[in-house]
Amino acid sequence: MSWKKIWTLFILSFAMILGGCQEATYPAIPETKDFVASVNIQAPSISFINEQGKVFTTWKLEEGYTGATLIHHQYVLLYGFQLKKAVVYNLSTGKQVYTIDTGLGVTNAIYDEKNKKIYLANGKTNRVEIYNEHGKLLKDQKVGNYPMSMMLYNKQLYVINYKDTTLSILQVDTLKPVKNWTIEKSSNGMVIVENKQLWIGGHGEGIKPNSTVDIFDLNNGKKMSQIKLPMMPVGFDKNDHKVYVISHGDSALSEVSFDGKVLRKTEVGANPFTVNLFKDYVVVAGYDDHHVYFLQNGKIVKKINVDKGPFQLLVRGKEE
Amino acid sequence: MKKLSTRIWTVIVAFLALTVLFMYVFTDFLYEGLYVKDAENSMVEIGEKLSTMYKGGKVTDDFIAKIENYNEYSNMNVFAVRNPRELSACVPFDIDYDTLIGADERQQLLKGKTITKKGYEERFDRQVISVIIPLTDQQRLEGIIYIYFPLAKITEMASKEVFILLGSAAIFIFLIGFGVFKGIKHIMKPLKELQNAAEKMAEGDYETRVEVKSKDEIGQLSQTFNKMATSIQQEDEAQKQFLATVSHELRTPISYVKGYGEALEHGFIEESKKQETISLIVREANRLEKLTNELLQLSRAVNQTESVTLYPLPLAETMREVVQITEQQASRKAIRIRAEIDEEIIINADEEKIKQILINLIENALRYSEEGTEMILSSKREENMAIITVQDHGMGIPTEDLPHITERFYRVNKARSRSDGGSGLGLSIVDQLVKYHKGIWHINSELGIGTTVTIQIPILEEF
Repeated sequence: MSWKKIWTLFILSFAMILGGCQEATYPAIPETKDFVASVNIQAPSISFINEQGKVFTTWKLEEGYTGATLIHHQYVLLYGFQLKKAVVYNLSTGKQVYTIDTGLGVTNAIYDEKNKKIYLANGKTNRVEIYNEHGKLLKDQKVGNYPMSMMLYNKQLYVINYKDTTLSILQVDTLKPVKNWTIEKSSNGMVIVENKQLWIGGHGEGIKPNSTVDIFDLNNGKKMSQIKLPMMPVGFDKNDHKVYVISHGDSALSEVSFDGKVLRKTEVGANPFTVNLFKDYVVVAGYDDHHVYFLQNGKIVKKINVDKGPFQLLVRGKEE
Repeated sequence: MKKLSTRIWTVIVAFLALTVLFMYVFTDFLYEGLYVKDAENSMVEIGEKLSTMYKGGKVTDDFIAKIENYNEYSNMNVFAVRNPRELSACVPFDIDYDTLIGADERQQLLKGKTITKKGYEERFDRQVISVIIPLTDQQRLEGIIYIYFPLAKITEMASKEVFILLGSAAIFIFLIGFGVFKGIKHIMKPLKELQNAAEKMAEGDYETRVEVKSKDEIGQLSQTFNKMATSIQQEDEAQKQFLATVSHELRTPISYVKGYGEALEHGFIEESKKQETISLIVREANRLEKLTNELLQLSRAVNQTESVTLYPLPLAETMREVVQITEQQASRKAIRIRAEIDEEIIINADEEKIKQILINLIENALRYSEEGTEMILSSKREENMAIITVQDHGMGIPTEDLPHITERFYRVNKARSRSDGGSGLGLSIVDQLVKYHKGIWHINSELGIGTTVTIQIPILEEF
């Protein structure tokens, strides 16, 4: 062995030791690879699943993150209710890009693809904040008690205040409050149907479980009707002709037409909180049974074992 | 200073209180260890049996009703729950209401494990033992069977009637304390009597005796006390007797000397009788001298201590000297002293004292022997004792007098009194001196035939 080789080895080991002192590096995800990833909050980890229903990579997280959001298809933002910082990783390199000093209490994060902004909801400060792509705080606004579910639609930000009876609607850029609508307490999950209805799900107040999705008129916030569904509908996704609703209390996936007819109910997973569409599949994560399910036509076609507590699904490359 | 009875009482009552406390803790322990465990086991058993009614799928109204129905006939509280809100199904979300089971318990139940717990449940507002049986289907927690039983802790139970409990414990301890107090007093009564008696003794009342009521240690002590009191009383009486006798013995010669002396002084005695009177005075004075000498000897003998050393003494030599000394006295009464002496004997002794013993015995024998009789002084060896005998053929001593012969101033023939010259101290002195030489002696006597005194003194072996 030449001196040069030994020297190289020494430098390398030193670099590795130094590297070990810094933030974790995770396995890289090729830029072209589509996936559905389950954020497992009990583990905590992220399981990356490909179209074939195989977990091809798992990121074992070192902090107790409670949620994640894809930014720009190439980055992932990890946040936690009990963490002071949110972290952004580059999926292609598995390396940390930057951090955001969020402070404790982050309940949710969404990314505005068009304006390249990050929206964070904070359940401790009861504020919604806007950050730019480099983690700089641009704006913040106080809303109701415990903001959680957020959705962007038509230059407006819809925020469900989980422990409150209000839905806050803010201007997307300035966060200026536009109006407040009255909704049920412990509401969670929403979807806009045919540009005229806002569907809102929820757990139910206190120990009384909720079994309905409330439908509001998008123009005036009036409650139009409600759809009876299995217990605790809290997760939504939709395609061109129907809405998929996940009810965690009954572990049921409901397919509902835009006019509110329940087309199909499927029992899936144990205590699932989230439903997403990925390629040709409807994907559901069972929080209690630690499995991710791929469904087609109301049938489970794939059952994938993941780490403990899959709570959220991240989808890259929604459709072919 | 605390009294012994108070101390004993305190100790007993303290132990009693400790026992009550211990019993309380122990009962609590037994309650926890046995009763609670037993309740838990039967609850688990019932819960598991009930859970067999669940056949998978959703928990039906029928199932809930069946459990409710069972509850109506059971002494435990049983209910089935299928509300996911109660089962912490929403846990990743912030929960601001009280669920029946916590997130950790849910994880246990999801694994199909039965949960047993004991403690305060807010929902029931009391201490309970509860058992939770999961109803799972395909890893879904469809519901639970919840069984609980109010855990009336002994403390909780007692808290209602805490005053009754405390009161009865206090009364119990008080009554027992009183009983023990009485009991100790009863046991201590003879001791108290003994103390009083001892105090009386100390004040000089030697008549005092205590009543012996029992055969225990205190009874034995009382008996010993009585014995001691008797001894002290006897000794005291002997002392008084002795003093009285001494004064009496001294007074007689003194009154003689005084009477004749005064008669001479005043010339009441005829000239012809003067010589005789003077002889009488001299004789009485001699008697006084002899008496005081002997008293002195006796007191020395009694007060003799170990400090005076004994030494090896050839007995034969001493005996011959004694014969020589007493021969003249004997010849006056025409009594022959025959000596049968073992030449070999050597004893550990004091020569003067041995001489005195023998002289006293011989003088005594001479005094009470008829004229012309024979007296034998002998010595011989018997095993490791030197046996010395003084045998006379005198009048002998009556049997009833023998036990008293060594008492001071005791005389066999009271009538003969002082005329025969004996002081009544001779044998007392012999007794003390023989004891001093670690020897023993005894007197055999037959009336009219004679008296034999035998003395045994240990022989000095290695000489």
